[in-house]
Amino acid sequence: MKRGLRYDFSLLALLLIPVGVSVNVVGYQLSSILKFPIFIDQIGTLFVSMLGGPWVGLVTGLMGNVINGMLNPVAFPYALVAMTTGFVAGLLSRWRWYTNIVGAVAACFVISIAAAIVKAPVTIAVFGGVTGAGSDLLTAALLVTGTSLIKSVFSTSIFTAVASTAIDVSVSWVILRKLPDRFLIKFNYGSPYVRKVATAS
Amino acid sequence: MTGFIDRLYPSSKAALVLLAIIVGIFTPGYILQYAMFPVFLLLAIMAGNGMRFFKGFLSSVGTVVLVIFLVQVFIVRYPDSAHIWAFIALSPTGLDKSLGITSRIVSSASAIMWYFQVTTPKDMVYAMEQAHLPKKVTFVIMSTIGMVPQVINRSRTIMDAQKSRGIETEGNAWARVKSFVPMLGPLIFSLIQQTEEHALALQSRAFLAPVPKTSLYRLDKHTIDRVIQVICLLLLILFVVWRVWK
Repeated sequence: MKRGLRYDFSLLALLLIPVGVSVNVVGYQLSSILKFPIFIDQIGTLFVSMLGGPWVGLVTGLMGNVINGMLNPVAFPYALVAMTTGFVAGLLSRWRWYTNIVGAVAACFVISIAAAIVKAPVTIAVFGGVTGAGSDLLTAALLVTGTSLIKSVFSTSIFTAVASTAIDVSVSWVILRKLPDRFLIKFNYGSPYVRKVATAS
Repeated sequence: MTGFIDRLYPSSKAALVLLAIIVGIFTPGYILQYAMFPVFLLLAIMAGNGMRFFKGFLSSVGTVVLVIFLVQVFIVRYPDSAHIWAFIALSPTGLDKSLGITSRIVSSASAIMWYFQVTTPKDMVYAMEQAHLPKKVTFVIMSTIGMVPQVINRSRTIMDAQKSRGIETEGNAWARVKSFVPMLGPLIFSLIQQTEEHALALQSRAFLAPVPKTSLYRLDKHTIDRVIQVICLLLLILFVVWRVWK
């Protein structure tokens, strides 16, 4: 099957992008209402990547951070992280990793490692290691014990990425598995999650 | 005077902001970068939202700058760190480095923030359409900006409904993680259902027709816009020449 950019950006996939961005925002608000120490703000990106594929996921990540960045410019450099998350999650959907629980768990790790690899350099290059988030305490604690700046930031990034991606992936996966077949079948990457198999009568 | 910045074409303002960001990042030192904040504050006051700019800047960039400053000066260890008390050490290298990092954040952030406060999404998207960007791109931007506040309102309704059914929003971490699904599930289902209706509405209005879009809204480019764009380009070339030759 040919899967180029034009194929990925179907009309329904385009309409999915604003959905993903607004779910991200709601997820962020929910995580502060439920008093989480980490921000669960990529549920929408992951959900959209699962249904829309890598390129749509990438654009969702970018749009989310651009919308955030209009009010808070600190979010702009982290668009790279959200774009990586969306792209990798979409690729894994193309390779049908989410069709079983083992693949979904493995996907959590792959996505968080990819996100941390992008996040740590951004944090160091743009902000010198800290950004005023709660996880800075961990970075500071590691620095105090004599760990180098790069190692401290990278450990913090891996730790927060694994924790938040685990929640992001599991919540969006549970919701995806509950989506009715008649919706799933309409999206380009939704067919692997359809439960009923059409039988020739 | 208030109307002057409003009447500028979005791409002129963007040229100004890009120039400020590039110059801010690549000029050594920190005085010029910090000086950009008052300049953009003045520009924001000229556009009639000085207070909004100042408050927004303090709440988003202010804390970040403060935290970076404290961590770089007192916590990160450099060869010249002088031990003060417990885990706190003072380092002149750290002070220098933190000034370099924070000044660049201040200059870029104030430029970006100013741009989005004085340019409405409508104008930005119109300028993009005029620049012949694909209409799928402008549509995604416009609909995302329009959709976020609506969805936040809807999520409040869903949250209230689920709370009245006795969902747990407190307790251990696992209970709180589980409450994400009943909160977000109905929201996502209803939004997905809505996308189908949106797709039908767009198709019936010939969204996919391969012709340029017409707009009732108009925004004109004036002479001043061309002057600003040319000046920005010249300044950028001069800056690059100065940085490369020196």
